[in-house]
Amino acid sequence: MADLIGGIPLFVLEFGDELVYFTPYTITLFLLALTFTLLVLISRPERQIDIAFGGDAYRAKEITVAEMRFRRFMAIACGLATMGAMVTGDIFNFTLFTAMVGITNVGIVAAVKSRHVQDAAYQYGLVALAATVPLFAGAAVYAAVTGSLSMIELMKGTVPAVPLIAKGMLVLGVIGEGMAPFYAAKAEMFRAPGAPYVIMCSLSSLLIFLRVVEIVMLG
Amino acid sequence: MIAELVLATLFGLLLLGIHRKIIARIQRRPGPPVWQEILHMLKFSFKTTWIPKTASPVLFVGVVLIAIGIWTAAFYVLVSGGSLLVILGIYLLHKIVEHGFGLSSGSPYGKYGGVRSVISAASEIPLFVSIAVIAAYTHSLEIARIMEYQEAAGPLLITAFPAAGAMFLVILSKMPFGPFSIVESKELVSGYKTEHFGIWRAGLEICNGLKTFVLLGVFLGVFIGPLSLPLLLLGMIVLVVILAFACAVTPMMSPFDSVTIQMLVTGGMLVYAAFVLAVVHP
Amino acid sequence: MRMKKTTMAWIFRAGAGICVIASVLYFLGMIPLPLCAALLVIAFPVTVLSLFFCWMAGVSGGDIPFIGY
Repeated sequence: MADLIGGIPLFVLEFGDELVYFTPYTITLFLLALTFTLLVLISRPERQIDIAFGGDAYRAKEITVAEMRFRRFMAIACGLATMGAMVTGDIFNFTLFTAMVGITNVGIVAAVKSRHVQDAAYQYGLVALAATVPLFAGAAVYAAVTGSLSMIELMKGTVPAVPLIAKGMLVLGVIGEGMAPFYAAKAEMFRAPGAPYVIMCSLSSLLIFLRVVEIVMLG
Repeated sequence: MIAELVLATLFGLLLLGIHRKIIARIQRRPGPPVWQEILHMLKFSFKTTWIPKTASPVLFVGVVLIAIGIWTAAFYVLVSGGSLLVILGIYLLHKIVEHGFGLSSGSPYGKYGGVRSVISAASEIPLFVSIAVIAAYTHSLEIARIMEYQEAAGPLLITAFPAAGAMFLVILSKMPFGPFSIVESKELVSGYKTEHFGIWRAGLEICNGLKTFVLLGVFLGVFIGPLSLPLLLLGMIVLVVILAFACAVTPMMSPFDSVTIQMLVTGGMLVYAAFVLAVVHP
Repeated sequence: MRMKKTTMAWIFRAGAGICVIASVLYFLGMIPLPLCAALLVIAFPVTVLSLFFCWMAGVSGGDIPFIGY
């Protein structure tokens, strides 16, 4: 089993039901989320330049500090949710963090005063909202079949095998948060200025997807 | 350890030079010498460098460090025969690095390169499916275990040929001048790397050399099995020749076509994976 | 922020020192591979870029023309 996931757990922290554990794989993912969250914390946004195609004219976009402050807050929240999803050892907590990533992703671009970006954020929000249905349903089937939501229990192999449908729903829910083929709206969101914040949209989805690949291999 | 890292980077750059040379010869041009990419990296490192006025300074510089850092990590995962999942994660993170390069400068060309890089995220999904197939055959995702399996049961290149094809396509999508290189297409000047000049670009070249070495090394390790060092290097050159032919004879696709083809391949791979999981290894 | 050639040279020496020491310690079996790799992942990018800055900078002008443009 340790062969399939990213190595044996190096560290397990138990608070009653709550459970945090690190394997070499999740520790890598956690450190990456941490690195990019620190980048969000310390970097200032770029000033985006627009050009008029077919001519030499260009103009810089005006962005207010208040808008950027809100978006930085959302990007940090997104980073924290991603870090939570990387280290948690509880499937229900993982789904909650995933749903929170979806919400903060909309938040990161929601304050941008651009019609394209707003439309894209709205469409992305609808997909992410719909995706939470299979996400939580998957976690519910996990709980119903195994009687446990702890990933350590799943890893030990002492609980009944998880049906493929539950794993499928969990993966579908995560894919809906912004992986292919549901990522099309996300590409338009990347038009928004504020590179360090916008990158968190993509990073959070990728990391959560990488984590769910590990989770479905556990049980 | 550091010596291996530096040599791998230089060999990766040499592979990219061979790639360029072969494409040029197929197109009946003389082409640059094979060590051109190494010279390129050195040339950029001597150029005047600053941070553009519109850029987000920390991200602009930080993303270069992250680009080299993640592929250094991938190199050690490959050397130690670590988890294929970690390599996969680093491959996905390279996408974030591309976003970072493109968006941090504020240039519209870089931005469109970054947006195209989001759209071409479809190219990663065949990789997941081929990894699922490999896990079904070998019951492990450790590169060392996969190599042991192949020593006993023969190379996966033969037994799981479609998975190898899918991974080949993934590597092709990361090679320059290929059909899927829409992120650095010339109508966007240089796409995501437009604004990273001078030393930043030299850092990116180092990342590219290391990335080429690691991706080809992973392909050979996972689909051929354990190889001695001379055979490994020879295998990489052969793979680069095949990739160069694929790049030379195909035009660069439009972003829409590129994504469509990658999604079709993903569909095919899902059918194949379902077949493997249901029939071959139930 | 003014970056002098000498500052960059010091950063390069420190980074290269970490890389070489980590490699030697791993070679002697005193540290495990993950630790050696972690040190190199952090030190290698910094070393490379500081080397480039160090040899690109002129001595006459004092500081490297990057930053403060």
